[in-house]
Amino acid sequence: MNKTQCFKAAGAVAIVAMLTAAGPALGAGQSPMLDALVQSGEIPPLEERLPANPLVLDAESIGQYGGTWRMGMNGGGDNGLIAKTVAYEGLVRFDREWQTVIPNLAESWEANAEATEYTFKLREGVKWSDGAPFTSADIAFTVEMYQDPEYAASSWIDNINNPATVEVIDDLTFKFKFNRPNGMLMDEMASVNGIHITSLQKAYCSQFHPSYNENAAADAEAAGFSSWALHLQDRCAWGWETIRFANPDLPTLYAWVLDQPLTANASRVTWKRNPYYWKVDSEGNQLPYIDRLDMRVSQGGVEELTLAALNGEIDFQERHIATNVNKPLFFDGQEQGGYHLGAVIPSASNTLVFQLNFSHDDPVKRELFQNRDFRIGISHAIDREEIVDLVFTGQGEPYQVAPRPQSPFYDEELAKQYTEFNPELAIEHLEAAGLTEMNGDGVRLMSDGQPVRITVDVISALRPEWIDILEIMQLQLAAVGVEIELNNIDRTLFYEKRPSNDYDAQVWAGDGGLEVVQEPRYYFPFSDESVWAYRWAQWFNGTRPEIAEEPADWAQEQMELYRQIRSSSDPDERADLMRQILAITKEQFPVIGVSLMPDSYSIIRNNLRNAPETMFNAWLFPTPAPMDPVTWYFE
Amino acid sequence: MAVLLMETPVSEIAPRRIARESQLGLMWRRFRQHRLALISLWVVVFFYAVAILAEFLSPTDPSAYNARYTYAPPQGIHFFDRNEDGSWYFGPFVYGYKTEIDPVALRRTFVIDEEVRLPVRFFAESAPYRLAGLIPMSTRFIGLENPRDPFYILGADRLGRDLLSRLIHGTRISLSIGLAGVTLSLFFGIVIGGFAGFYGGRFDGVVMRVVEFIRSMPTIPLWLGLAAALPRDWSALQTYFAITIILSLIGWTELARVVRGRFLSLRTEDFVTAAQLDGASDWRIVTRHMVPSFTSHIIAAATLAIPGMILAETALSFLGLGLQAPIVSWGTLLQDAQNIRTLATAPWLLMPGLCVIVVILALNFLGDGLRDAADPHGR
Amino acid sequence: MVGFIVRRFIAMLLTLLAVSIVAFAIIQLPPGDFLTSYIAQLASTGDQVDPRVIENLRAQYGLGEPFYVQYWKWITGVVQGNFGHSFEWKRPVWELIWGRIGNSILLEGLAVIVMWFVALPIGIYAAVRKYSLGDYLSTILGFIGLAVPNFLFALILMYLAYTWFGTTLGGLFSPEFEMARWSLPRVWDFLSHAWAPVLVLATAGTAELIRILRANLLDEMKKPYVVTARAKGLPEWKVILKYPVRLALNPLISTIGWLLPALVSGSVIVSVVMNLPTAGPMLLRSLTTQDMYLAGAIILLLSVLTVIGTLISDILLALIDPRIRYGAR
Repeated sequence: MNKTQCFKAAGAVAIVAMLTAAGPALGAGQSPMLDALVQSGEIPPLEERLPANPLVLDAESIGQYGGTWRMGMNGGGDNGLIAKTVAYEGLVRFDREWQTVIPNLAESWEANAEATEYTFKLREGVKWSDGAPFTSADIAFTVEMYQDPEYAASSWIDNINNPATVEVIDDLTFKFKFNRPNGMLMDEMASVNGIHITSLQKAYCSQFHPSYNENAAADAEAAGFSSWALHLQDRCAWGWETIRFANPDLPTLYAWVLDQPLTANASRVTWKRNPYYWKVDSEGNQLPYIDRLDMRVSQGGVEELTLAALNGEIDFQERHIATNVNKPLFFDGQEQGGYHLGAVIPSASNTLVFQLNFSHDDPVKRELFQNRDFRIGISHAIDREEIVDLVFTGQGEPYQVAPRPQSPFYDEELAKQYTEFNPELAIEHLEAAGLTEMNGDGVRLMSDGQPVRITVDVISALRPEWIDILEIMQLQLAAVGVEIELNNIDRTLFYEKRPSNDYDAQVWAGDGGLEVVQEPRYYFPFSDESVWAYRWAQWFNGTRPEIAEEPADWAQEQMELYRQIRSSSDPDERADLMRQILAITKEQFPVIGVSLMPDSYSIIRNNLRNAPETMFNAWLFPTPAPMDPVTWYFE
Repeated sequence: MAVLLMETPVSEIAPRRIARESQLGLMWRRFRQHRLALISLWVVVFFYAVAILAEFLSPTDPSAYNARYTYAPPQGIHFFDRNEDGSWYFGPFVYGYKTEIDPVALRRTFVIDEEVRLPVRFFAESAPYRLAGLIPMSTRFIGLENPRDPFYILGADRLGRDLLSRLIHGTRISLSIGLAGVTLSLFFGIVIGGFAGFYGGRFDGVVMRVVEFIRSMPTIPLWLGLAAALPRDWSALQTYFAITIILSLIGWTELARVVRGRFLSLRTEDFVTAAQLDGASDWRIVTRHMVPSFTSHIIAAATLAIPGMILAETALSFLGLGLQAPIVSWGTLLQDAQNIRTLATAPWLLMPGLCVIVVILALNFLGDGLRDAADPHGR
Repeated sequence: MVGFIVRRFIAMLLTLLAVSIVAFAIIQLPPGDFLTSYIAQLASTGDQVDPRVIENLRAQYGLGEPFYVQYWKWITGVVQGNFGHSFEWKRPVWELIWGRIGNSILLEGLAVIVMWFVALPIGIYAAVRKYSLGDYLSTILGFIGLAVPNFLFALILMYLAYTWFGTTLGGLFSPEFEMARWSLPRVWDFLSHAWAPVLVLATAGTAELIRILRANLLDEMKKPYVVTARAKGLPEWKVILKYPVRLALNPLISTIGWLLPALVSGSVIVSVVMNLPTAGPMLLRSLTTQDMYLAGAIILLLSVLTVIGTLISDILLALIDPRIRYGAR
């Protein structure tokens, strides 16, 4: 994977041939850890545990069994780490380059031309971690649960605009049907959101639901729950919900099964290999190579984790500790800690996205914030080189909120427009926006005679560099007569201010630098995260009609284009439509970016083999899981 | 007998000095003997002076950043140097830096460049500012001839801001929070504790139960709950005052106990009874007779309460609940410094910790000294 | 005596009732509830929760009811030993916290013992050799312990352990002893982990103890009986240890009451930095996620411990010193 290599919107809606051309000799090898279990008859021999057609993973080298992969969680609620290492086992998956959708639990699929019906065929003989076969019935059950309003989960399965219905054809074949075209389903299912559909085993989870067990309510009460729904959610939580990993009895399809679960009191979460795992290496040895996982749970501070990594007590990790600030520390500690640093390319485009509230309650501010000249003026007033130099030690470059250079949607003009630091030009644009008068303190006056004072909400706890960037921007903008005030708040409030429309501006990182089609929140009013046009996004999604507001014409045009993307089954057509959306984005310049998110790094122990020296970092592409940790091994 | 008396030389009769000392004067005399306390007093005075004169004393603006000097180590300040021709150079100066960027490890490396000597000027010209927000001024205590030269006596932080300037401005916030918090606590403490002690009985019982109750609540959840409940869109200044009030809401109980205790014990003293028999009003008894006799105790107790406030401020900032950047206080400065990177590569950023330690030590010794001095039975 | 204990006991129950109301009010203070923070957390990973699901959850959790209804439900449950369910972990609160509270008591208990062991000799020395070099040095050392912010001390300790000995201090047990039963090796393993946090906690409080002990002792030593004892030619160590020290210890007993809440607060910070599974970090997290029954239960239990601590110290004092028994109404 090199930087120039194009990321391509994956979306094969063709029949994908089975990846394995010549089946290797099955049942060639298993971990010595399992030999005794087989001999004692606790588990059947390997050939009975593996599917007829196991998924074969090619890795750089054939590994050896054993060892423990040590990593660290930040706080008890860090389920993200598990989603990104263990739980990424959907029907399909992305390849390592995040380009095409490839088979996983499903060995093949096809879609109709309208993208309303998808037929999947499961791998035969795949077993849950308790040895029971994985079939279409489990899929149908999962869909049923997700659509039950009492079960607290939501995903593409129960999307209110276009929910999935399932039709079981036989034990291994089923169909998803949609009322409206769903051209992006395969991308969705290959992303982290694909975890949802394979997360519940019918045999185990149905015992908690009254439709399957008339005593469910009584059982729940006996177990100390006030309703069967709470009991069900406790035992069979959705996808990657934290408490899902608190139940070691829950059957899964993961490479490792829980040993010490993630409870509120766990100081570590440990996993041991799943004897029924359904992937093998090219010689037919059952994966994973690594026998155990050990996730130490920090109590809310990452300093101990940093020290542990420095001390060689972490085998592979990027999450939490690989910060900009820590880099010199980890760089110097390589020899003592017996690790080296790998490259990590973030999926985010921008270090900070400055989003002005287009639907501000104050009509004067609303008009000003919607004024393109005003935003261009602000953009020219930011000395991005200085910020890059100061905050990121020269890493990155001035950049707008635009697809990253690695993306096929990369457009230099979109990425670079208005990034030049030019106070005169800035003043020219601000004056064009009607800000010609100034008060005694040198702050420009709006049309109602009030000074331009923008309160910017920021969560410094999430990314400490945001405060640094904003403090510098504050001085730079003051020089052209725009006053910004920093409002450092906590996350809950940050989100609460959106529906109540109680904000001038908020900042966040630039998601959607690589996953352009799937996460276009800054390119048009796409979701609740499009904070700059929160109320327009409500209009688009129909989620909160009471506060929805009709968007400007150009935004409506973008929304229409995106609807076409959703209904298209042709990847090239979708890419073309997305480019049209981006062209409007370029013209309208809705949000202001600062700099390209610099590359990060991962910490890799020197004796760990097959681990990626370079990888993307994203949530939808939940690295490192797509880099096949099951093929990693210790030398 | 008379003869005997006469025989005593006049010179040997010591002239009886009729010395009159006020309560505070007596206290001061005793206090001066406590050397550690005396030193501490000057330390405390020094820090509060720094807090008042923050703008004047800080070499630069605390928020002025400089990309070329991120994590620049302390320059220190030098007074003597040998010129190239072998003669001596006198006068305060700092050395310049030699800088290199290491793009792989993501850092700048600095070497003190002894070739470059940057003389320090007193009462240097600077951009105009207002001292304590009131007095317009345009000189600072120290500065470099060329304001563009690096001037980092105590080093720079991650944005190349001058630590000394930030420390000085942080002193103002942290010390005033301590003082304001204690003043508030003192007010509540004296009023509530005073009433309880003077009138006793049922009111006293109720107050003491309340005090006991507040003290039985672990402070952290109280802070957390109250700090989390502050309207988050308050400005920095409002938050600052709110934090002060929160700290003093918990702090007043200790003072109330002290005050009440003194009142209770004084109430039965003979001189109070005498005053009552004289027909003095309650007000007069309290203000004229009782309060002067324990002012010193109150001062001591209040002094001892300030360190708790300062430590609480840093602890709250550590938990991400108290003051937040961009406000500069010792707590927020320490919050920036509390990571392994700082310990490993920029230990000078722990300087605020040293200030906390010194001030708290000084306040404690001062408080101890005051208490010893105030104790009429002492020594 | 019985009357005294009964009176104190009733007062304690009233205090606890007040504590429970305040505890519940505090956790209700911040805007929003568990679900808003839950949605915020999901949203930051790009997930969007269907508003209908939230409505259902709100009903399932009984959120959105008036304060007094929620409080009444909670407190009646608490009285019956049911502390409610944690929203985040969907488990009974009691099951989650007993281990943590145990760890807290263990650590803080150790810290108290260490504090007394250090403070006793130093305090006596400082009083006997008042204003000597030793007095100054020990007081300065004690105050430095008090003055160093806990989190800074803990962090520096961890960093030094890493650079000097190549070990990471943190946690309470090595992995292999994590789940094991108590045994001699496990106790050893625990002590080899616990010394650092205990040290940090103890340094913060020792100075206060030294100060109290020294002051009390100085008071006692002025009393006539000490002079008499000296005059009778008793050796100096006996003069001091026989009575004044014993009497000076009385007020120390009463420190149990305030020591506990102070230690709990201190241990929150130490636990976060040193990664200790005590009640502190859980309380912190439950407060930020607004997991209110969990937070409420921890606050309540910690307060109960304190109040009981005060009660015990009161009773002890009353047993030792009859003046207190009759003096305090």
